[in-house]
Amino acid sequence: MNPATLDARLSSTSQRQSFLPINRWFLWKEFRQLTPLVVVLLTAALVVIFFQSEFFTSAARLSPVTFLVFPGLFAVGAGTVLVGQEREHRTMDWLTTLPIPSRNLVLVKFTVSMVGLVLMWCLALLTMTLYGIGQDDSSNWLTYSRGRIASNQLVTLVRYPMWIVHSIYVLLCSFFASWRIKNQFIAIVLVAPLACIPLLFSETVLEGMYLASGQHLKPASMHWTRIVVSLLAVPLMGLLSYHAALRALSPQSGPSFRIVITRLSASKSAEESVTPSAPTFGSPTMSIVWQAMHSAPLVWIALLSMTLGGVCLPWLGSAGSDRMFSYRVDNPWTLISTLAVCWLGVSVFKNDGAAERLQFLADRGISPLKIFIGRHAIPLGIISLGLIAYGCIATYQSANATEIAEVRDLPSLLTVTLVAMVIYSVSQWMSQIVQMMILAAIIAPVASFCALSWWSTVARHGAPTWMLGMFAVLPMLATCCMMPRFMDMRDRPRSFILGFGIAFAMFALPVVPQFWQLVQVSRSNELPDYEKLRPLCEKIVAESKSASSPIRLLVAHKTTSGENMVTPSDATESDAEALDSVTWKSTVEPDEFLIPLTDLKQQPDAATTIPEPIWTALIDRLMWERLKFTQSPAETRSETIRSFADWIETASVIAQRLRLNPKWYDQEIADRLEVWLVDVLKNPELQPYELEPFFLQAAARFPERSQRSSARLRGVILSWQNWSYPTPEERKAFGFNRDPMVDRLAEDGYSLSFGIWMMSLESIAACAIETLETDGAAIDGRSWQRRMHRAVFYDRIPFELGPYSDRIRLPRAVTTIEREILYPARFWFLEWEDDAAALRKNAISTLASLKAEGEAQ
Amino acid sequence: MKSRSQRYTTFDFTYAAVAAPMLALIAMMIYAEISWRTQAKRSDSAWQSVTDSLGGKDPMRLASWYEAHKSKEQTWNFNRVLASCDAIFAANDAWLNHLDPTEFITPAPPDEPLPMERVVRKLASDAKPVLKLLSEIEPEFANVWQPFVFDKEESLLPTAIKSRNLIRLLKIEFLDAYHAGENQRAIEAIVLLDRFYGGEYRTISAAEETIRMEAESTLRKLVLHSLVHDVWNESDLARIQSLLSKEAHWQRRWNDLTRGQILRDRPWEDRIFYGYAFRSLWLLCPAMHVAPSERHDLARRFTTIIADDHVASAKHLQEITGLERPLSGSKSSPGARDSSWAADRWIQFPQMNSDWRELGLFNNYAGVAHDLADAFKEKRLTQCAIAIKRFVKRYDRFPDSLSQLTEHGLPAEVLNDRGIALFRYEPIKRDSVRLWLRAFPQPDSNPNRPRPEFWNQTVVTK
Repeated sequence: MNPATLDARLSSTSQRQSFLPINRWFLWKEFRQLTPLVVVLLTAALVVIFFQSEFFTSAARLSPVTFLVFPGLFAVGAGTVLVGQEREHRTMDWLTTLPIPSRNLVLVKFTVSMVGLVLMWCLALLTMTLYGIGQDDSSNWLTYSRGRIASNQLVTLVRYPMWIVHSIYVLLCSFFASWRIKNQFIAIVLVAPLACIPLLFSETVLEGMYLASGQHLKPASMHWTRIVVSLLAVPLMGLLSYHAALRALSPQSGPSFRIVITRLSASKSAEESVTPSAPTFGSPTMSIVWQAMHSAPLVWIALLSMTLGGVCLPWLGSAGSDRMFSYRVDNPWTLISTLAVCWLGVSVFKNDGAAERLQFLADRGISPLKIFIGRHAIPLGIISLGLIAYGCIATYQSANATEIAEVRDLPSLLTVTLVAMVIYSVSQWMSQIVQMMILAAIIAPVASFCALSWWSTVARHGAPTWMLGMFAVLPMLATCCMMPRFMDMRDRPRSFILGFGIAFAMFALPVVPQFWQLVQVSRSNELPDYEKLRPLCEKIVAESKSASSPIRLLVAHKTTSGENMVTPSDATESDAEALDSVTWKSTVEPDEFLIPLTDLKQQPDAATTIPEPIWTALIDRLMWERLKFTQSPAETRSETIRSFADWIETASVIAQRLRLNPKWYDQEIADRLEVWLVDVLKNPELQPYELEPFFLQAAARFPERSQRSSARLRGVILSWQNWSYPTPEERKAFGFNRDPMVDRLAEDGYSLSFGIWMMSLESIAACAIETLETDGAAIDGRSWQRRMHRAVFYDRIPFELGPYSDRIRLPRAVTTIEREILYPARFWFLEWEDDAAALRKNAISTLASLKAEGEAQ
Repeated sequence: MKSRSQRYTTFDFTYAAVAAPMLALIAMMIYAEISWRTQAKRSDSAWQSVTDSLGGKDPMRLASWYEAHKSKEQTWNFNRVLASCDAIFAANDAWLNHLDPTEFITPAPPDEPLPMERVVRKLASDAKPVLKLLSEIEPEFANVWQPFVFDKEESLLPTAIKSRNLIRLLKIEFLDAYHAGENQRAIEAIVLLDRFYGGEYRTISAAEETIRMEAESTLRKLVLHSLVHDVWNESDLARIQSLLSKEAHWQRRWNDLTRGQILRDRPWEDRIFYGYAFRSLWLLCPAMHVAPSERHDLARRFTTIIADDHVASAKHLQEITGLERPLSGSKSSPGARDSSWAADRWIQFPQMNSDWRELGLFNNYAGVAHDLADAFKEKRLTQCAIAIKRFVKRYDRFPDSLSQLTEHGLPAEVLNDRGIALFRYEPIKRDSVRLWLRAFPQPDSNPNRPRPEFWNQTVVTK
């Protein structure tokens, strides 16, 4: 390449470079700087959503607040990241030397953060829309909600406009604090009180209006007041932030000669003589406390105010008014004190607690434990003060309450202490693990929330209090163990490995008592012997899959979700007549939901099912029809028997088809229908009709003992498989969603924690299977009734009080048919089965002889 | 080596003050623990006395009592009667259990139109075989055994609720018979009501007692409403009066239901608490640990419930109805909490206060006590009204005062409750009088809106 060409190229390159839009480059740099924050927040959001959906009760699942909090956290962090990092990396002065006007620097940073905020909001709103959250009664874009929810503080708080406007204000606050204050931590802490100013102001205005007029504004007006105040605060804070930025970016004047002289003389005198007022400490721990206290007094004041404010303000705010006094987790003041506890934890290993600064102490031979204690002294002191304040308020409130509602949501001092310990402990752990201060400040609340979710889950399931305390202390032990390495900055990667270990321990330790309970239950020999049962189960499951028997719903009632609704295409009114009166006609016409009985009769292999409410109505109707027949005068019997015969036939057809259904629940209903039928057919009043076709056919429809046992066994095993492997496909394969009996048992098992109730169901299944296999004989010297009682009731009630005792089993079976609560295997191996077998045998032989006679004739 | 005094300076001690809040918090917890142990002894002894007075908290006691006092003789018949009642209402165009269109129908004599006459006739016609069977059950077997599983309220509730349709059917039978002028059939309906739900019926739960009171109330209202007509003759009135004069066993009823409830609930009290806590609104709600001071308070309230006093006395009523507001302090209602606040609640878990969970528990007792006392007074009101009607039948004029009724057979205690006159007698026209019932003292009444001294009037005509 000749020199002329080279010169020309260089010249053109230089020209191009000079025209490079430096703003675009700067924009790119800012976006890159902000990316970690966005990534961390999105990851944290995913983790929180997982925790909420997995471990919270349905009422609290995927709360809208979860989605709304993350744009807010972004707003808090954006300013600190974009400005604070310039300070941390000492690039602030370099920025001022760039050929970009300060105004542009400020605007670019603000624009980038606004783009990030818009992105966060879009993601939050999109996710909420996808999950269908927050649309209880009206759009969340309205400033008020209608109906009963209007008075609910939580829901009214999540109106979108208020949150969006306030997040812009918070973003400006974070810029203001970061431009204004050199210490990043103080800047972050300052954002919290600044963010509350419009809220406090609007509440003061509303309170003033209430005091002046004596009545509260309408909810919509109250929200508009809050939004207007926040809207007014946005330009004000923008202006303050802009001025703070210009001041920070302006070239700093050098120190004057006079000041230099003064400083020099001061340092000289300091060297010459020990200042009498300088504190001397015998204990290194106390000197660390002194250092922590004096290095950032503003931080402590701010955090102390937030802690005490969160405790006292809900109480003071409720004094003298009719508003609810509450420390619920959704109370904004409670959230502020929670955040304060988080940041107190973060403060332990940041600022003066950062590894670089602690190394100085390590070099002087100060014990890591003393430093650990010294760093925790002030935060723990502040938290203890808050807890004492809470204890006093809660005691006063509890002792003087006149309404239940005043104390209903008042957690005890022990609960609040443990919750605070979990939050603090996890936060200080995060502060040691995460090096970047701003990320630690944002990750700590999220990690604390996740830990708290798990903690509350294990607490709800009855973990002992000492275990809950241990849970709270574990991260403190971890940081204490890591102190020597942390101070020498040799803690990586060991801190991560230990971190995983601690996280695992926190997850696993509280489950130990539950696990022990599971072991105890499994030791009691009541669990199924899976190896023994496997061949049988596999055979029955395979048969049921290869069998083509259709599953038909006989009757079903409409549900709001449309489940179990039968299309009326194949129903006719005449066929439905036999059953229409057992249903509730006012809600649905019978031909809308009845499958023709004749269809069922024509298909001998058609299985059927019957929903719970229809079963109740059917058995009531059967009882009435029988009563009408038995109470009718002898001279009208020939007429009444015709109507009654229809019902006998209906009951016997349904019972027969229910036996084909692979649901245990339907086998139980079939038992009860057969009990009724046996009692009817054995009745002396029906003996004159024992040669009638309806009588003989009904008796012949009774299954043989072995058939009944096989049907039950199939029902038990397939229902067991359904609840053991409840995938939608498997459930669908059996033609039903949930077995009502299993649901009932599951409800009863709420007091048994974790998998205990599932184990209880398995015990029931195992007992049922073994009982059917041994034909009701005692196993290992214990009657199956006692085993079944223990499996169903656990240790809640004595055997004699339960449904398997002789008290309930010995009376005439038909008198003890229950309606709403169907206990499994209630009617197994009772006398009625022998009666059914005898009736069947007689009927079949009679039918055969009648047939033979017919053929002979 | 430095001496101890040389090592620590004043600054050490000054800055050690940051530990003061922590130490104070630890001291609070230790104090709470000591308080827990102290209160536990008190609570245990209070519960011991409660369970001793019930003969122990063995759940088998309830089952034994039930088996001893109920007859299996007619269970089958009675149960199919109950099932048939449900079926009759279901078959007659969808009367769901909780809807009763005949609820506000009052008896109409033959010469007046009966609202919903077609429906009443149809139901009465359907009910015939059911009532025939019911009337065949002899009075000594009227305490019908049911296959109860003494697990929880839900297992007792369905049978109790089923009785409601029988009560409605008997009411419809009365309305139909009264309108048809068949007095004996009408009286037979209320005789059946009394046989199965009257004073001899033994209950073991508040739910059953509430149903029974509904039956009694139905009976009384039917009789009272009929007194404005001139349908009953002297012998009819005498038969109704004798029905109402039967011993009601108020105290026994109260004792039955409280013993039943307590014996059923007590052994599983922790489970009940757990269930409530589990469904709490507080999101981070763990299993409940109830402070001994609260348990003691609970025991004290149970002591009030099982006190051996007459349930209808105003004092006891006031105490029992006060139980439903455990936080209202001892100033206004003697039944409310009077124990001082104890520090053991600091370490109760998770809430500082568990009174709200007991609210549901005591609502049962307070509500039933209140209704029982009401039933007691209204029964006397009905007796008094019938006595007036009989007096009119006999002398063709109203008595000058209620005391005149006592000279014609009405027991004097019907007119008074512990020396206080129960009624105000007020002639309103030449052919009718009004009878007012004295209002009860109500601990929860608003002092700014005092209840009238007399209320719940009834009219008797010639």
